[in-house]
Amino acid sequence: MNKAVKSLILLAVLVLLAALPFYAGAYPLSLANTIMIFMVLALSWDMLLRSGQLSFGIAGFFGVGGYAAVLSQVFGGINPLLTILLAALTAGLMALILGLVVLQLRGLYFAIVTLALAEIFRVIVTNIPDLTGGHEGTILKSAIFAGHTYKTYWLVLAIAVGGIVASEVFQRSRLYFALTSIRNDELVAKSSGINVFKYLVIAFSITAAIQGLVGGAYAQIYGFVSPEGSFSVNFTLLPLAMAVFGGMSRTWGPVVGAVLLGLASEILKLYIPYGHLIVYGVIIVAAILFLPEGVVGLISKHVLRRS
Amino acid sequence: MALLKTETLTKNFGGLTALSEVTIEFRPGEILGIIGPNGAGKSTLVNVLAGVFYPTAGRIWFEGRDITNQPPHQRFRLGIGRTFQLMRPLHHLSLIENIMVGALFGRGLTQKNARREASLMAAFMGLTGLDRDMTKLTALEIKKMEVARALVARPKVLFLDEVMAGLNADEITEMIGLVRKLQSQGLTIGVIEHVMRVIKELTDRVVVLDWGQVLAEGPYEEVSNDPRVISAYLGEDE
Amino acid sequence: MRGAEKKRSGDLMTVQWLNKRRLALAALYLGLAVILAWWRPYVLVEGVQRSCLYAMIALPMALILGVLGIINLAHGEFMMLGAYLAYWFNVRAGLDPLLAALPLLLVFFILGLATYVSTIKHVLAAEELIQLLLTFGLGLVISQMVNLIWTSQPRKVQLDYVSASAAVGGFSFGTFEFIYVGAAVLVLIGLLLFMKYTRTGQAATAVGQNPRGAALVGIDVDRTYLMVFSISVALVGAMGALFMTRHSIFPAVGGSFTLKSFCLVAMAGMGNLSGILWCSLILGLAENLVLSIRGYSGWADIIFFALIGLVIIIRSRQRQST
Repeated sequence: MNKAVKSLILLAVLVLLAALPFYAGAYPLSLANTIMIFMVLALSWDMLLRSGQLSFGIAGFFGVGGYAAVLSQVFGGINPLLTILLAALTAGLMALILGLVVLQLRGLYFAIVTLALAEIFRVIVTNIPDLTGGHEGTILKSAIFAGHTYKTYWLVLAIAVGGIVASEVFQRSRLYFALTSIRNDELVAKSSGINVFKYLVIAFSITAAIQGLVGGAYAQIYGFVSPEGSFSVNFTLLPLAMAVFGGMSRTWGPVVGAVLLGLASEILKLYIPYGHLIVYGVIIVAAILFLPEGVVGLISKHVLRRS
Repeated sequence: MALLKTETLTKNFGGLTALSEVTIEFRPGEILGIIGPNGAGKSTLVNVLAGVFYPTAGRIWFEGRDITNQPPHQRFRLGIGRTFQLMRPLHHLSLIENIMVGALFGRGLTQKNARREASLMAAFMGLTGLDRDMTKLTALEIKKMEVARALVARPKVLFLDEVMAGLNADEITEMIGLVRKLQSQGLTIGVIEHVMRVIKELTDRVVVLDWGQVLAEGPYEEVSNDPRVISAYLGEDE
Repeated sequence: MRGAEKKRSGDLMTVQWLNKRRLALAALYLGLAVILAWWRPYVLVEGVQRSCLYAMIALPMALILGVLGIINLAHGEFMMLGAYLAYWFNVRAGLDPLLAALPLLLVFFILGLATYVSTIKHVLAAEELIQLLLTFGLGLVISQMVNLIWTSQPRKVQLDYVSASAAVGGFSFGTFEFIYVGAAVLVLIGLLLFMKYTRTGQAATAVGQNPRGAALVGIDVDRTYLMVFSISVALVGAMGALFMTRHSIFPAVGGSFTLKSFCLVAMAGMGNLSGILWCSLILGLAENLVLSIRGYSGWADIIFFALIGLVIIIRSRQRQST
């Protein structure tokens, strides 16, 4: 399939998606929003994975972004769209500071620190109630675009497209070479002129900023933040499962994984209202053991074999 | 003037002394052999020179500058290249991409230029099938790749750490030819080897290490007849 | 020969230096204990008890890390599962949890065997992040399974003996929790003896230091991994029974123990089992100290995080100087 045809197909899909509000009702739109939000989270998680670093802190930066967006609007009267950018900046900055410390040792230490991240942020946020509203959280007077479903959807679509583009650019940039080298063999990487620490901090900050951006958008769309809601472990688990299932270290893996698992999750919720998270756990374990290349990897292997 | 020289270089790992007051120099354009029995500190020396370890004491001078505290990635950019004793291909990257890494980050080239340089270097080293997966390469090809990866950054000195290990006689001959070509282009080369044939044929001078100290220095013929060197190697069998 | 001599003289110096340092540390601990005993004795008592709870749970994690080289992110979840099983035995059959610990050892040993053979074994050669993802997924499966069966409502058993207390000069404190102190010391001594004097333990020590070398000498590395993993799971599962005697349990209760166990393992350093006890004192006492400060008690949960951060900063400085 040559490049021109591929681009045309992508463009067609994009147009269809952009036009979705005109022929679909509120529920499909809301479902699409959810899928796209988790998709970008899954993409950002995967982007860091490509450097060999495993982060369990998605929910942490997501929540930080949410709080940054809401609080900057409530206390600073900042324009809602701008608060989303601010959310990205805040999360990115936080990751930068954290990364400067933790990425000195990376690997295991990094993974565990990020595992604790959401919890730590949640505790901090709960313990400064004057600023954050403590346990109850903070509400926005109105959701972004006054809750207009079309505009909200387009915002999320824009973010999703941005996320996909970012991931693809990532894969074709110098960053890709640096991070892949670091992932495969840090000794070779640094002996080949790569400042390992610098690149890891950059990757961590950028992916955290993306997670903060999504968190800010989510907070604006739903109009509130709270310790339990904004730092919910779902925001780490689902994107992770989506990327692992769909296929790690590639753009379309998290995308496909998000669509598949997002749809499956909606269906599951109808039959297993509680504890459907167990499915994600099983998916993660099963995918690692039996489907290490993910769905996309499996498909491309078969396609390649044919051709 | 020496291109690269060390001054009483010492490296301790906890209670173990790997290098002790090593003072050697690499003269521009020469091939210096570094030999010694197992555990003599040859690889440690390369690692300290390349910046993977920092010395416990002593200094390292490169082109007249003190680089003792420079991290490895900066040393590579300055012009100190090296290969590894155990082969270390970057397995998520193809052959050409492996080589490109050296050009991208050792010389800061753009992707397009790095790819071009990498192709040229691969041709020079006699490598083909550049888009191949690293898992499909022979030992000789992987070693050539490592040399190419270091070379694309246009280093001024290159350390070949036991690059001949595991190669058969013909492959060694090929490698020796390549190294000679490199010298003829002005590269200063440090050859760490166990295979004495390589030392004999390639090197201009040889440094012998034993227990982290310099035991002898000079052309191969001299050094190989030095009784201290002979007993150091014979003593290996203890 | 000469190299060995050099190494021995180096070792001697290291040993002397260690002893001085150890004496200084011991003096520090003692001084701290005295201050706390006088100023806030309940912090000292409860802190020591809590420390040993953490230490006891962290030791099996250290065992796996030292021998297999992986961190079991499902560690806390196995403990939690053990707690729930003990709860179930207690509610259904009236079995006292402390007694339940023994059959739980067997149950979790078998569970460990099954887990290793079906999952862990296959990722030992993979990238570290794959291993972490796998155990993370396992932990998720376990906690969600418990959630499905028992829901997220906290459970607790009422036992008379857990409220035993004693009084020293007008200050009364719970004495049951000293069982954690006993358990921690017992497990530590047990593991040290195991590693030194049993065949599996000696094999484990060898494998932990050099898996390839151990294999060359004829040690069945895979079987060693199997045994060590299963022992670790058995221990931590049985500990769940001890845990639930005094704490209410819920599916997510294991998570913080995984994190704090790692904190201790990181502080103590690879292969340092006894160090875990000493480091646990720092964590437990610090937490209880913060808990006792009015208005700041919510911050106690961050202590372990700060400690990990400190370990990272200190270790990375050390590594930079190599």
